[in-house]
Amino acid sequence: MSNSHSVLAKIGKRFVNSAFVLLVLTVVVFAAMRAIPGDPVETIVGVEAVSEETLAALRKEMGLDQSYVVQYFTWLGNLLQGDMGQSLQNHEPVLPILLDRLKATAELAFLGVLIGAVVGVAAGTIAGMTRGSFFDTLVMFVTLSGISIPVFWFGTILIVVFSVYFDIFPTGGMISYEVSLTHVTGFKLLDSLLTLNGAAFLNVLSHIVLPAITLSTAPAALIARTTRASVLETINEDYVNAALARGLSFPAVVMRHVMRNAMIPVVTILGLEIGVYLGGSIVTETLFSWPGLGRHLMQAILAHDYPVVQGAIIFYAVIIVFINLIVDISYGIIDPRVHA
Amino acid sequence: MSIPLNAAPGAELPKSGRLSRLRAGLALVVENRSALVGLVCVSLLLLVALFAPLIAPYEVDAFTDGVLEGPSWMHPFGIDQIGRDVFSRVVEGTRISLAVGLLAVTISLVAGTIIGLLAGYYGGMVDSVLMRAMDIVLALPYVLMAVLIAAILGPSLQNGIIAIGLVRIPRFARVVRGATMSVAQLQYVEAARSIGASDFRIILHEILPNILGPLIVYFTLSLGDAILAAAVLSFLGLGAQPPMPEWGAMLNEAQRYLTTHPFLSVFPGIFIFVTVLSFNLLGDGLRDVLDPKSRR
Repeated sequence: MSNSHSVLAKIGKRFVNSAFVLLVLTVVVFAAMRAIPGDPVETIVGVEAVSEETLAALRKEMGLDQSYVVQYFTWLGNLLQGDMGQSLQNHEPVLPILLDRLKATAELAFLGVLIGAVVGVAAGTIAGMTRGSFFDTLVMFVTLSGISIPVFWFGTILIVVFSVYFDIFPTGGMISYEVSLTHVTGFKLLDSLLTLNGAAFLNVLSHIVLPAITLSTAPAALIARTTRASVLETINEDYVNAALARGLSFPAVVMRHVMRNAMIPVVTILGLEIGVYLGGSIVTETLFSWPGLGRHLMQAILAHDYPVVQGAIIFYAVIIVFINLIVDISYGIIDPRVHA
Repeated sequence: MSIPLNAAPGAELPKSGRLSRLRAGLALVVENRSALVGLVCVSLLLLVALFAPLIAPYEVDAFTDGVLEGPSWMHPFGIDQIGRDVFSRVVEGTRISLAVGLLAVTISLVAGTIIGLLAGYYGGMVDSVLMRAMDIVLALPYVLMAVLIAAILGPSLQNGIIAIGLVRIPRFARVVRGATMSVAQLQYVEAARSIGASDFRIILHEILPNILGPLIVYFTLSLGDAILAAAVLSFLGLGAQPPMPEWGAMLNEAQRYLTTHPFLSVFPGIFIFVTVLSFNLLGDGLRDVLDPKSRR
């Protein structure tokens, strides 16, 4: 039996665990960035001929003359205060750029997962209710294909068909240059709604459709399979039969009893696979030139802009660990049988 | 895939006689439609990889007499931007992708099995420390792991394989740990311990053979994933580098000709898709046969 005290203790333990994982990750990322061959100072200075004294002065200014331990704790201290250093490319502070990019990623990821969830739950429920039917077989085959298809190739095919051949949607980007949009929250779809800017809304929407569908394939497939499996498990439960016997209509029973219980594993799977979807979003953003965190990271790695790479990886890790933590905690609360 | 329920009684395989067990297992695979389709496709791909030099009409880096031509009888998949036969390159790519998948998953399998066996068998502190370490690796998706490794060692196919292999270690460790924990309580392990068998002997002779089922299933499913991941990394420029005929790298090169010559992006993609799908079908089927309890 769990009481509120032990639930709190469990949440606390989970929290400490997550913080520990993140702390170790900062060490890993720091070590990785220091292990990169080449002198960071010379990378910054570039090809310009500079005297040894200038280099030494720069090194001292950047704290690179100190021991790795001191450097790590200085860096960690700055990180905790939101200082991720400057981009080597344009000398802008890293954190504001990443936060801005994160908004574009969040808009795309939200829409992608939403499409995936709606399609997946609908397809999975119907397949589960009609087990063995043609539709069920079809769903199982299509979802296995959805797991197996390379995301970037699926996106490529969408571009070829809908952008190149039919010319319905743009091939990439987030908003056309000629469209103006007032900055309110930084979320472009939301901003265009808030400022009642219909032209901008439609423009962003036309840009987001293909990448969102691309991103939705993997979650849709996985959610459909999980939903189907849990519907199959729930559908023969006594309480479902009892509800039917009480004279509730079949759709009402599906909505109120079957779906509700089937959703627990779906939420868990979604949370646990968040890393996979974020990986998918990096690929999707790169393919569609979507100005999000993932594309920024890929550009930074090709430009050897390590402060940005380091910051972006930590960003992703924080998101993944945080979402896993929330899923863990909420799962334990929804289903008290789970002892974390 | 609606899988017939009669595929489930894998547990009723006769306990004695390896050959008869193997035959019974094979019969179940054949009965299971998805496993059969997967098995046939994987075998075909293996044949293509094995006989690639005989199948491919041209050398992978040989120039033909055309540039950027669509599919024709002479060049069924067309000719690429510098005049190479795409069919020959895709065929050669089968070798690369299968080898990459095998290598990466073998890294995960070996390391994950050792960690999982130790954690599951000893439990307690060993378990806590090992599984915490696994949690840390799990917090990084393979693309980010590849970014880190590419930053340090530079982007290459070999480093991509290391990244993919590393990222899957925790998943293998979890599968093996779970299976080990349930096997370790069984009577024959107790019996072996009571006659004074060493931990090493128990793990190797009593536990490992009895967790092979879930391990084989997970290995097969992971092969598809690893091949897909390798293609993604190469597409992003973090894996195989041109001119290597790796499917993802070919798609990366084809990207520049997407609006003018989209056919270049079609065939390598189909091959990735079919290969990954085949391994997933086979793995799903094997799961029904070898590990009926874990069906989702």
